Amino acid sequence: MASLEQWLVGGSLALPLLLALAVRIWPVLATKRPLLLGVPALTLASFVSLVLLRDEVPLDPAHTGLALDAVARPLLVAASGVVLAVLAALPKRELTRSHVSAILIIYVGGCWVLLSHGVVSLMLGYLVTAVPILTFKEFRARRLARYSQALSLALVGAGLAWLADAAGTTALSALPAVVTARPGAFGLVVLGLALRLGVFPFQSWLVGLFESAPFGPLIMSVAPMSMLIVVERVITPTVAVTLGEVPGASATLLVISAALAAGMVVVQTHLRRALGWFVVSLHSTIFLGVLDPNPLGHMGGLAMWAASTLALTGFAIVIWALFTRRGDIDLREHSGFHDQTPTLAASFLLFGLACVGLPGTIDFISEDLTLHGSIAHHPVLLVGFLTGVSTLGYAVLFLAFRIFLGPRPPQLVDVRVPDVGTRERAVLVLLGALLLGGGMAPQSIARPLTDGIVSDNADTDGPPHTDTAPLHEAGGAAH
Amino acid sequence: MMSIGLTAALGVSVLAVPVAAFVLLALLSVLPGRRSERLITNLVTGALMLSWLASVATLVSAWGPVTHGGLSVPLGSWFSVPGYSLQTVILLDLPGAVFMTLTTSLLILVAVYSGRYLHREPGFGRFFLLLLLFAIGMLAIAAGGSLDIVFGGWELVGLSSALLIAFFHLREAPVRHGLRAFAVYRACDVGFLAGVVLFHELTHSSVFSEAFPALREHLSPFALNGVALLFVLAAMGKSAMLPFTGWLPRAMEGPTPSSAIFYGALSIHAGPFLLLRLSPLLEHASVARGVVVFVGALTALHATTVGRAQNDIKSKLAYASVAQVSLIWVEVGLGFTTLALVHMAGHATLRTWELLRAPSFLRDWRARETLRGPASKSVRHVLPQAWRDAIYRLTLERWYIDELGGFVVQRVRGFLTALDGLDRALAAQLERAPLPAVETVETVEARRALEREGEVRRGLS
Repeated sequence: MASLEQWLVGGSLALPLLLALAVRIWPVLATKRPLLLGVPALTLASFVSLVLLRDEVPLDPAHTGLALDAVARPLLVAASGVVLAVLAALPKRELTRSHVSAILIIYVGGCWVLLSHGVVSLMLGYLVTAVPILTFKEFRARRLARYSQALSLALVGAGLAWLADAAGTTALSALPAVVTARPGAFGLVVLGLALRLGVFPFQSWLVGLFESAPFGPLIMSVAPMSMLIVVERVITPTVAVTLGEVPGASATLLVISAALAAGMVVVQTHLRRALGWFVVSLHSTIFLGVLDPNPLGHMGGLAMWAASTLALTGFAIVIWALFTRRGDIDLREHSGFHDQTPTLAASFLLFGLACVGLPGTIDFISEDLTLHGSIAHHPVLLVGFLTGVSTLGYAVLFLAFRIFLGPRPPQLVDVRVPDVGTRERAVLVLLGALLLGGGMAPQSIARPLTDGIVSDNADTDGPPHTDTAPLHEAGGAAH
Repeated sequence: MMSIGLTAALGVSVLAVPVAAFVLLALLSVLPGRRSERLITNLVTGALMLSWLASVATLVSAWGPVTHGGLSVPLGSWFSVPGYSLQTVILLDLPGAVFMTLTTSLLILVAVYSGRYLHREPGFGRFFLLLLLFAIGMLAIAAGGSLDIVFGGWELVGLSSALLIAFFHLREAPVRHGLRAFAVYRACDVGFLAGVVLFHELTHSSVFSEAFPALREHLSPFALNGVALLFVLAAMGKSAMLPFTGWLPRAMEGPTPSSAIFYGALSIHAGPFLLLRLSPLLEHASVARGVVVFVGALTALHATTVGRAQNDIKSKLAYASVAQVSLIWVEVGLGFTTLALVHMAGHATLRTWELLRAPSFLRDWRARETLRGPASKSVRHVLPQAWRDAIYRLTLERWYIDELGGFVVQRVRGFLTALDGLDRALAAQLERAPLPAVETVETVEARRALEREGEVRRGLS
């Protein structure tokens, strides 16, 4: 007999999927915004209630490989917030069945990945999140993105299958124990993930995707960063068991990726491509945080993941709003939109800086945790990491000044650019309130993540879940 | 005599009142319609006055026995996870109280002045919002009892500073200079962040009252100097010490009241105040103190010589400010903390007055000449002509520091642009698509310059 929690989780996955199918069959449903918002609102409510319940929810893991653990709960809430925001911000002309169904399917795939504790279910979710974005014909980088996604899928799938073969089970929690026997398989997983997250030097497809992919599905596939769950469930425990700290080479690569991508934002000629590099830098930073086996740094990484999901969504929605008004903004000259779009300008600054730890937002706390926890073990890399964060902050202000300030070029003098509409304003205010509210009461974010680590320690007979025991053993010695 | 509870409440309200006013003004600005200038000015001035009253009371109590030696007021844990806790602590001591009083006093003056100076300016509300943000940042620096709180304030000061330099955003120069100032801040903030992390790592706390006693017992001179030097780097950026001096005269593009409060009075003194706050750390870090003295002395020489070659009043005042702040650095480095505090308060007040009077400077100057006769001759004839020419050239070019910085930035930018081109080419190759021709910022600017030149020639012909 299924429990209430199982019904909540199952319904949260099934409803959006059914809506996506219904939209494919009856395209007119794609224009019914109350329906489109109602379903994600329900899923958001159910995930929030699951956070409050704080129970481990096995979803028949023997057959499905799914379970709701404490780490996944806040991330699922964040992902539901993203889909709600994206569907609310979707411009009227993009209320088509292809856009809406792609957004919903990517969302379901992302949630599936976050719930996955088995290799098969994880790869299924991976496939579902990767494919819809590739079905759009309008973006140029399609071939590169297709190859990259396929290669990433193959590498991660092959690596996990190889490890599962050695472990004799497909449960993700069993894989870290056999990594020493199959180091090559572990390498494949890491490489595949680096490719999926667009870490330098594998970023070309992601940056290309940002240049021309439709915004709604793009935000949905990038902002929740659901594939980081593989890092959380396989790679970090492995690192904790075998090495005790992040390997120097990986940390160096991620720091270089974060710093270099942040610098690249400043030399871009167009806004969408700049956003692509921004995301590469952010992904690298969060990857490094989640990868850290030190409990403090790891918790900071997880908090940064949840917080950046919201901040990045807000930032991308502002850029999307600019794109629908003026197309891809030319960054080689000032556009001077501030007088006409003060709310967009303020939102751009708020969300952009929130991604890099603006005081008062949740990211300030998560960045603080990450720095205190992880980087202290790599003092030399500390400067590199901070350079990346600082450059990214500078890049946000650079972009804001280019877009909103300065004299208007002759071709834009008579152009009227409308500020945010009521619907967009509501989305931005809500996201901003969440970020600032979370910054004022960060315990609301920290508590579920803390519970995650504590419950992992206490419950050894439960369903397959993240094996973070080495993390907890080290916990008391953090400071 | 005030009780500890009352003193603590007053200390908290110094910071809380501007925060409340900021939130209120931000909410008002989100609402549709236009707010009257009087409402905005009264709201901001009123909040600052309340804050000032509380800070004066704190200052009075700081001299008393209650807070003698500093009163650390814990306001609870902002957040805590196993193994780490970020404490919200306010430190009420004499340097902090002096700085809080100075900050609120000068901010009231500037708020009243700006109400008239920016009358009917399109960004009137924005200016006051940023002024409050700056006030929150400065008061957090002054009252912060832990490095985390001070860092939060430090960041807010940097952000509001850059946004206020770019206040007159319809011209390109203020926007460019605002960005330049922010770039320097961010670069130096790397030092602050690294310092905070390492300080916490070494002392197991960011709270001053907990960490300072542990300094001498647990830390080696190498660690102490290393951490102190990181904070010195952060302070160098905010105080425009060498080699980061270039942004300050350019920052004068902002409205005069903000120039007065930021670059004459408060923001520029945040650097030496941080060093004063960390003086227990500096006491044990002789190398770092040596660096503070050396940087201060060198910058004093630089600012004095370069300031003499400036041909506009605000740049001249900017370099005069840097020269004085450099001397404060020397005082801090030599351990004269009380002298540095007095110097800081005096200089901030004088410089605010001078900058606010800057628009009327020529009239003042002529009035002075009428009363006293022309200014006395300098000792310029002591040096040979060739030396004078060389020195003049050097000072006119601001010791070529800007050129050096520009050279480094250009090289980094060139490398990144090349890398981006490589990425585009690689992507195009994999896509089997033709490589898109992309104009870089440099080529666009060069093309524009040629177009402008062509237009001028056509106009002449």
